[in-house]
Amino acid sequence: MIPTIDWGVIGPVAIVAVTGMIALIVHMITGNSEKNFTQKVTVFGLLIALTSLLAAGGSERFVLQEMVVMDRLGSVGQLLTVFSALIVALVSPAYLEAKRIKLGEFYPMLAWATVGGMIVCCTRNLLVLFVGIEILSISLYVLAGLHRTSKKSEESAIKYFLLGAFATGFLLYGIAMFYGATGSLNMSTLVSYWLHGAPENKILLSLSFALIAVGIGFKCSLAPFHQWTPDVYEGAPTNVVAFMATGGKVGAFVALWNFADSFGHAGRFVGMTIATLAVLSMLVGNVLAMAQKNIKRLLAYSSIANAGYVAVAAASVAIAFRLNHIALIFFLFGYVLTSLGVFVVVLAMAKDGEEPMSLDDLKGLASRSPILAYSLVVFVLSLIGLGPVSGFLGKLFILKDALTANLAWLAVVMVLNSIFGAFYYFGMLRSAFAPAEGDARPISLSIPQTFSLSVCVVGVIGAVVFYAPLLAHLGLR
Amino acid sequence: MKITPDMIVFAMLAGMAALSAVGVVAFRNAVRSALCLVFTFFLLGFLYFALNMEMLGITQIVVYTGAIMVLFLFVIMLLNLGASHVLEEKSDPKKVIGIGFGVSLAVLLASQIVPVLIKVNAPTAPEGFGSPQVIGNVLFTDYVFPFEAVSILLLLGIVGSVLLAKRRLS
Repeated sequence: MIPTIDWGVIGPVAIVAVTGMIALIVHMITGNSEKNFTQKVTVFGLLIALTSLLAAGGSERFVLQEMVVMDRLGSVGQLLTVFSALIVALVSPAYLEAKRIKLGEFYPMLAWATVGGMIVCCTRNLLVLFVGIEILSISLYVLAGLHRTSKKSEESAIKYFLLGAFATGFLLYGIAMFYGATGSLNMSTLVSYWLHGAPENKILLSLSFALIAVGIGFKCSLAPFHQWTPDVYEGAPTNVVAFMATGGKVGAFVALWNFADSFGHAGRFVGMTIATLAVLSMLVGNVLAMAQKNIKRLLAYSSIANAGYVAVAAASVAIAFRLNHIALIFFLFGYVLTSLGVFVVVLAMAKDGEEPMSLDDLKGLASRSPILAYSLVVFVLSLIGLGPVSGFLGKLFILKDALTANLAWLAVVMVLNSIFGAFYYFGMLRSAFAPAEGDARPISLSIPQTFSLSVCVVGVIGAVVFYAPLLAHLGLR
Repeated sequence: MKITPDMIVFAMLAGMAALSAVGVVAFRNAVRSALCLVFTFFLLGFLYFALNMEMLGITQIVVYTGAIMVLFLFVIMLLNLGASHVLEEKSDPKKVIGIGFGVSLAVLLASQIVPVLIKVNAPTAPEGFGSPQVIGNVLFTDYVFPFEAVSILLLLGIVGSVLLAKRRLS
C-alpha cells in the first residue's frame, strides 16, 4: 500500500529541496549575471517555506511510521533553520562580492543544507536522522571550501570533511547497535528495552548510546569532540559560518535533545554522561574563548559553550520526569537570532576582499556605523544573558529544568560559566567602542543587510517583550 | 551429518573466499591485495546466490565489487603504493590499545550472536524474504521518505564534487 502523504508535514522540506533544484537550473541558464537571479529564486523559495511553516502550526502529527514527527520542537527547529538560511541568503551577495567568490552554486547548496537540518529536526527515526545529518554535513563540507583561492578555506574544508566522516562512522555504528538491541530504528522503542530488556541488551544499548553521542556530539561541537570548530570557523567563508553556527546547529541540538528525551525519565546514566559533556563544553568554550584575538575563533568557542548549555537541557530531560521543550525552544530562538545578528555585523564590515579578522579590526565601529555598534550591544547582552533579551530567557528556562532534574551542581556550573562568558563578550564591545585605527570610513549598509539586522534585533528583544503571546502561539501553555 | 550437493558447493565457495581473504592480508603488494579483495567479494556474492538470496548477491556485486573496489583501486593508483616497504609499520603503543579495544568489541558482539546461532539447526527465512519485490515494496512504501531524501543527498554529492573540482577558474 502506498502511504498517504500529509503534505502539511513534509511540504516545507519539499519546498526547500525543490527551491535548491530550481535555483541550480536558474544558475545554469543565467550564469553569474549581474541581476543574481539564483539568489532571488532561493530567497523567494525560502520565504514560501517559512510562510508554509508558520501557517502549518497545529497539533502534533506523526507521518510514515514516525519517520517524520511534526511536534512543537520540530516545527520551531525547522522554522529557525529556514530563517537562518533566509538571512544568510539575503546578506551573502554583498559578502561574496567583497570576497570575490563568484559561485552562484552557493545558493542551491545552502538550500540543500537547510533540507538536511529540517529533516533532522523532525524525526524520531535513526535512519532518517542519519540521512538528514549526512545531507546537512556534506553540503557544509563543500560550502566550507567555497573560497578556493584561500588556503585557509581549503584547510577548513578538508579538516571538517575528514573529522566529520570519522564522526559519521561512530554514529552509524551506534545506530547499527541500536537496531541490534531493539530490532527497530525508532527512538520510541528505546524506553521499553532500556527498562525491561535483557541485561545483554542493556550493554549493547549503552554502547550504542555512547557511539551515537559521539556522532551527534561532533555535529553539536560538544567538547571533547569540538576540536574542528575553531579551525573550520576561521577558514570557511563567513557567510557559510553564519549558517553553520545557527541553522546547521539547530538540527544537531534538536536531535541530541530528542535522543535524550527518548530515554524517558529513566536515563540517569545517560543524563550524567551528557552532563559531563556539558560541563566540559562550557569550560572549554568559555576559558579558551578568553584567549582569542580572532573574531571567528572567538565565536567558535562561544558556540561550543552554547552547545554546552543545550547539553544541560538534554541532560535534564533524560533524568527529570516529563520536562517539556519550552527551555530548548526559547534557548534556540535566542541563540539563532543572536548569533545570526553578530555574523551579520561581521559580514557587513567586509570590504574590498578584506574582512574583520581580529578584535582590533572592530575598533572604531561605533563611529563608522552607530547602527552596527548598537545592534552589537544588543547581541552581546543576549549572548551573556543579561537584561531584557532572549538569551536571558533561554538560559533561565534551562536553569529551571536543571533544578527540576536535581542537577543543582550543573546549574551552578552553568551560572559561573555565563559570568566567565561576560569577559570576552565585553571585549568585543570594548573594541567596537574604541577609537578607530586605520580605516575610518563610514560603513554603508545595503537594504538586505539593514533588514536582516533589524529582524534579528527586534526578535532578540521581542522574545522578552512578547513573551506571553509567543508562548500562547507556540501552544505551550 | 549427511553431505548434500548444496554443502559441497557451499564448502568450495566458502573455502575459496576464506583463502582469498587471507591473501588480502598476506600479500605485500597493494595491487595484489586489492585483486584478492575483488575475488573475495565476488565469491561472497556467489555464496549469497547459492543461499537463494538473489537481491543480496546482486547488491554485493554491484556495490562492493563495482563501486567500492573502484574507489580502492583509485586510491592505490593515486597514492602510488607500489613498494612494500612503504607499508611497514613501526611498533606503536597505540597498536596494543587498539587490539584491546578490538578484542573487547569482538567479545561483546560474539556474546550477542553466538548463543542465538548455537540454537539454530536449519536456518530458514520466510518465503520471499529479501527478494527484490519485497525490498522494492518496502522502499517505496514504508521507507519512501528516507529513499527520497537520499536522492537529495546524491544530487548534492554530484553538485558539490563538481563545485570543488572546478578549480581556479578565472
